[in-house]
Amino acid sequence: MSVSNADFLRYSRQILLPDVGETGQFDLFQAHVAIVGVGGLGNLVAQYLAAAGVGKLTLIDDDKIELSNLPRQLLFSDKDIGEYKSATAVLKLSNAYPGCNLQAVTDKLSEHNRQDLLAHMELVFDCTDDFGTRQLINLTCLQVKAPLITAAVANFSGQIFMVDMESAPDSGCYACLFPQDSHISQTCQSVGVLGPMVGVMASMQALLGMNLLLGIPVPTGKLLRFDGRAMQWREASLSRDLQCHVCGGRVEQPRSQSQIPDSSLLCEGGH
Amino acid sequence: MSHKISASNRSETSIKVMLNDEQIFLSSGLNVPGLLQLQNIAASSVALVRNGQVLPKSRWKETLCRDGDQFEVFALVAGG
Ligand SMILES: [Zn+2]
Repeated sequence: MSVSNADFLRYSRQILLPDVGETGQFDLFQAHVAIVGVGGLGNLVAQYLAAAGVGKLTLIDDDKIELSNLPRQLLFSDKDIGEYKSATAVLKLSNAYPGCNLQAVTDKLSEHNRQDLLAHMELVFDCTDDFGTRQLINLTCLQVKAPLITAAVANFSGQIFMVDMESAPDSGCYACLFPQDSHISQTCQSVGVLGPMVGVMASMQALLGMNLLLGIPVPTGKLLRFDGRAMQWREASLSRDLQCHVCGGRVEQPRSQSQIPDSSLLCEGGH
Repeated sequence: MSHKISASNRSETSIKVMLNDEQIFLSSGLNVPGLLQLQNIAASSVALVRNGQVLPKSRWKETLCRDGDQFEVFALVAGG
């Protein structure tokens, strides 16, 4: 395994990092990553990863591009309105970064396809905008044992954390922090959002994910929250909820799907 | 009856906690749902950090506010 001369030049500023080197760049080439949700967060995460040389990206979103998306979903322009977000992003990123193998899924992640779509992923990014899908991604990542980097943004609030029951079981899962019966008071549709606010969270998501793919030690079990008005980050340690409906019953149990409730029990949120 | 104790009329049973960087005086013995109710915060739409650590919702009821506790309460955000 080695990096070609052209690639060595293209990725030289990454390879130059002692934590990356040719080995790290090769790890990126070999990685297959899923990005669920190709809105504001997904646009930027996908572009960062494709540009960095991640080998294979699967972009999952059944939404179509709307005029109100354009201020923050920077891959899209007026003439893309009405097209699938996932397919359009794949088209544009494939042109810009031919080294990256991109695949669009224009279906919504659902009970029927979730296992197939997320199995064998080295890493999954939750960039969606609805709570029901977030719960479904969390459940599926637990089942297929894929690390999950989840971020969300609305108004001037951003939240990001990683879920990985393999490396950090004590930190719990998404549902340990936000149980399925939680109520969402803030979405981008109801309270609005500024483009760079999305950019901050997407950059953190992409950076954390790349560090993970590169084998750079990442802080586990840490919830980061960003206040875009005060320009302030806050962090907290995540806790596993021993009564969590998704991961709680699996304490000290061998991994088996029978321990995980059927996702039909999860709320089907969305808007 | 209110658990809130005015600053001018603090008894021995009053404790001081921080909630999102604001000082609050409470009577001792108040649990987390009680604190949220007192602050008119809908428990169903927030998560809570106590002294730097997320406190899972299933443990709110059994958790009493203690003098010097630092709470951060924040809304669930789901936008992307
Ligand atoms: Zn859990």
